[in-house]
Amino acid sequence: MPMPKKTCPACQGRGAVANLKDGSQQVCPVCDGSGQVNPKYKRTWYDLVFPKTTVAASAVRTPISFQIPSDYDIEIWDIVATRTSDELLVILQVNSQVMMNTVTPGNENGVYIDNWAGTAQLPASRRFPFYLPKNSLMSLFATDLSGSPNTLQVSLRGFQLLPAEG
Amino acid sequence: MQAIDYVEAQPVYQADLSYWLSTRKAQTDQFVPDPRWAKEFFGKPHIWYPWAFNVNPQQTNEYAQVIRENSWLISVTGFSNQSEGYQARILHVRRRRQIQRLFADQDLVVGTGQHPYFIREPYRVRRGDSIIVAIKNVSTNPLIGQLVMEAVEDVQQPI
Repeated sequence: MPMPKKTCPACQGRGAVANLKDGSQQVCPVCDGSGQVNPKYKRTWYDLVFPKTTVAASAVRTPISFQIPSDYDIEIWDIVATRTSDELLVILQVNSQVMMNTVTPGNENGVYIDNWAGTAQLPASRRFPFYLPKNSLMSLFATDLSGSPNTLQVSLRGFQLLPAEG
Repeated sequence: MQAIDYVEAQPVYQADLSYWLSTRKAQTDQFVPDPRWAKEFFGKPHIWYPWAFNVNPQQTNEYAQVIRENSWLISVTGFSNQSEGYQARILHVRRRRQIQRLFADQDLVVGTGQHPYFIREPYRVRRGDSIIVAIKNVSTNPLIGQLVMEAVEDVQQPI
């Protein structure tokens, strides 16, 4: 899922540039020698909202899915959710990759919703956003532990990324 | 005296700032990440590692989990069934170094979904590393809950 890089415009991907004084090679100051730079984007506020779903009492891994539009990539900064009860576990899956480590015993059904998502007033904001490519299939698998119907809606808030000139 | 009076009266040192910013959220909000981390993490996937725990009263349990990919740990959140709270510590086995060295109260170690606790600097772990979370139940009631660490995976291949 990493964001695709583009070739460094200063060194053309070589990772080094010539020193004009003596002709020696030095590490490219634009890309720090990697030969690639992050592409530039215009950012516009955008929310990915999962459909509001009622998870049946004690239901295991109820799927909630939608597709990211094909027009733009998404950069996610905040996760917010509303739920009837906090006794709810969720697993996020992007395409075929499970984004929560569920292999250890006791964690098979994911993360408590209150460990993962905040509210509109106090969102689970991160300092480093994560990137979702266009056309990705987003799936959330919800497991109820409360024993009564649990209505859940999750919103991933961030930006849509449109390629900028240059 | 208000915090702003103190700030205006004399230079502010980190310890003083921590004193006035009495909540974890206020403290972590003051932390502006180094731009190099934002550059390093750009476009990489975020993964959540949950440690479910179930601890009897006045007992301590340890839970291990293996890191599935080279990653940086960035934040800790926790959720439990009781308000008395618990104490926790987090141990990174390979480096013989404890991320959270001693047992500390829940409010000092973990945040919540609404107020994630961000580690001061992203912590590097490798694929196959074992992270042990030790939970001490300080109350007289059974403790059930979960501690979650968010990580940024250092992967190059697309999904």
